[in-house]
Amino acid sequence: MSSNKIVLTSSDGESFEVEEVVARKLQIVGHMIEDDCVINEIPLQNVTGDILSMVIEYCKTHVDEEESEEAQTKLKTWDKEFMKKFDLKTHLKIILAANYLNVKGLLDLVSQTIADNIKDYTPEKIREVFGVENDYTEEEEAEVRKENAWAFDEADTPKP
Amino acid sequence: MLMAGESSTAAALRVRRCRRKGLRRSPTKIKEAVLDLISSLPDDILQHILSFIQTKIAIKTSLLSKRWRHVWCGTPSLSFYCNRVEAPFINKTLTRYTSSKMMSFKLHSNLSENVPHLDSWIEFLMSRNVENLSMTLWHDEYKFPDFFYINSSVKQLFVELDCADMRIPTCSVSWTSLKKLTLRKCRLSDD
Repeated sequence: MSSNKIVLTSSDGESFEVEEVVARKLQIVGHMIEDDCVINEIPLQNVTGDILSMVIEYCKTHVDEEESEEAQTKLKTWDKEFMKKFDLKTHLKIILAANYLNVKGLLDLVSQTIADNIKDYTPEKIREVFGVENDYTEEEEAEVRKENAWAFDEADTPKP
Repeated sequence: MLMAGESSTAAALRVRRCRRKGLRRSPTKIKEAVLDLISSLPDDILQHILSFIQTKIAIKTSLLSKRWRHVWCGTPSLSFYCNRVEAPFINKTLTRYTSSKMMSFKLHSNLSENVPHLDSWIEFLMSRNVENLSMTLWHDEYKFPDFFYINSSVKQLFVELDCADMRIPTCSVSWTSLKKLTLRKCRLSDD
């Protein structure tokens, strides 16, 4: 059964033939298989071919979730290198795809990667890195600072 | 060529509009701002991302833009490392917390000022059906309330008590969903 092949087709018409065990890592596909609504080609409307190929690469690598510490460490190293290959914009596309395709491990991995980018930066730097437009007026921004004063006290308010 | 011309005109218009509204944004950022993909992600994904960082830092994202103002309030995980953060701030965070389902709550506390608040925090977490609860407490004196021992949502529980004994509960214990229990440095006593 595990040698069954399934074809996954992206929104822009690219097709990928993968082993059923790999396809099952995409929970959206796993549920279809369990519900018996899979023939052997599955159209995935919300993901383009370039991103789907990355998701499949992740799923292939994670197909055997071995318990041993050594295997876990190896996978973690692979995960890190895998994330390094892509820029922020691609991370954001992967996170949308991982959410849609319901690949929990990948969703967590990209979330952690993006969170690491957020946690060490000031709000100003985050805006710059992610291209977030500050649409607060000065008064509104002051109000938000006041609302959450304790979270801003260290880095942003100089001590008297 | 035409498209490039159009987009720079559009950018110029945006700059002018921004200036009129009194927004502070440099023209060189225009190109990136148009590509503000992160803000277009749905709330639940943004909240998932924020669940990987300490709550205090997650709250800072409320300053980014109007889109972000309340996003943190619905993050499924809260974590506090308070060696100097005081109880009133945690209380304030909890009152602004809107998610009805809390996946995870982590607390590291070594301020004795927190002790009188611990019961009410635990009560709050349980009302939000917390699944993963982790508490590291360096307090001389703390006894978990009886309702701590009766719970149907917690799946993973981690308790580390550095200074206080963990008194064996006199009430009955009913953790019906518990899968993993970790007690570290907990001296059990039954006085």
